[in-house]
Amino acid sequence: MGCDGYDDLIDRVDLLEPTDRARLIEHAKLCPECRGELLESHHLRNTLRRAFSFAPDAKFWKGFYVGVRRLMHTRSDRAGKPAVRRSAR
Amino acid sequence: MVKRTTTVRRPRPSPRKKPSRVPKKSIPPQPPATTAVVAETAAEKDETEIKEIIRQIQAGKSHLFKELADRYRSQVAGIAYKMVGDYDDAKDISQMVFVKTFYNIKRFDLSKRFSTWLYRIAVNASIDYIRKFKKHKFEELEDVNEPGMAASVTPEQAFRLKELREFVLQAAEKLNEKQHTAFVLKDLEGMDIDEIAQIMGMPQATVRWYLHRARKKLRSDLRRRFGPLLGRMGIGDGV
Repeated sequence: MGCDGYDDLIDRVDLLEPTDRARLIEHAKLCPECRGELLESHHLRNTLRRAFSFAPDAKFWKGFYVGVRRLMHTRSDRAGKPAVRRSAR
Repeated sequence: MVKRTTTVRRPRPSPRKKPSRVPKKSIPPQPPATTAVVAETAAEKDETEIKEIIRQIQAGKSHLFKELADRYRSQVAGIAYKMVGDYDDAKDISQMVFVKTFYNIKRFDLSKRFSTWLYRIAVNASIDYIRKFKKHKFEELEDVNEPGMAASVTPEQAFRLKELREFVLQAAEKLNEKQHTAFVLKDLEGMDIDEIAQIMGMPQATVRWYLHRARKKLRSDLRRRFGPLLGRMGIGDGV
């Protein structure tokens, strides 16, 4: 899997110093195996972002601030003090 | 007529007259406004506006807090979702984040960036939530209709993406909290290392190390299970 010294760099290509990154890319141009792994790594990262894309609809936000206020009251009740006094500290 | 000529020739005591005496030195040519400069100015303006809202909240105008929350709730809920992988949990966590923010905003240092401070609260609240419930809740894989899923995704791709999400959440349990946070903020949220370092309160090199360790732990499992699928199904492109 990959070439010695390079396969460890493939997964952190976006974290490398510019010189190391350029060295890896130059190598990948000549090495089909490393090029394939770089592409796969890139695909995987894109797919992960896609799998975890977050686009809530209006239903998600319905009652959002009601929930926040309820939590604030719960918190102030627990402390036995009104929310106003706590926030005024 | 003589009088009029005299009036015209008399030097005016106006302050505008002074620079016109040395025009070449006192009025340098203005540099052209580039796109980068304009974007930077817009970001600075936005940050200034936010700081002003916070200043007013700190001065007692707590009704302005909703305006602040409106600006950031999507980002906060997005981070929470990527940490726990569930929309309902993300909603609960983001609500808690804003409660904590409200109670602590008086302590916010206005010389710092607000988003960094808020995202740190979001990350910590998500970690607390995971600790409290120990493990992630795993949904039924049959239910693939996530609200955030693009319409262009076929049912099979949607199923695979959901499967991948569940798998990542399970695999992430092998990571420690710092590795998990670095992985979520960089690979799922797409933040810069610099910003992540500020959120996590550690040097950039340390963040890179945690991220490298996280990727190494997840890589083999992910590739073994999903690598061949990516090319075959074409779900890796077009993001």
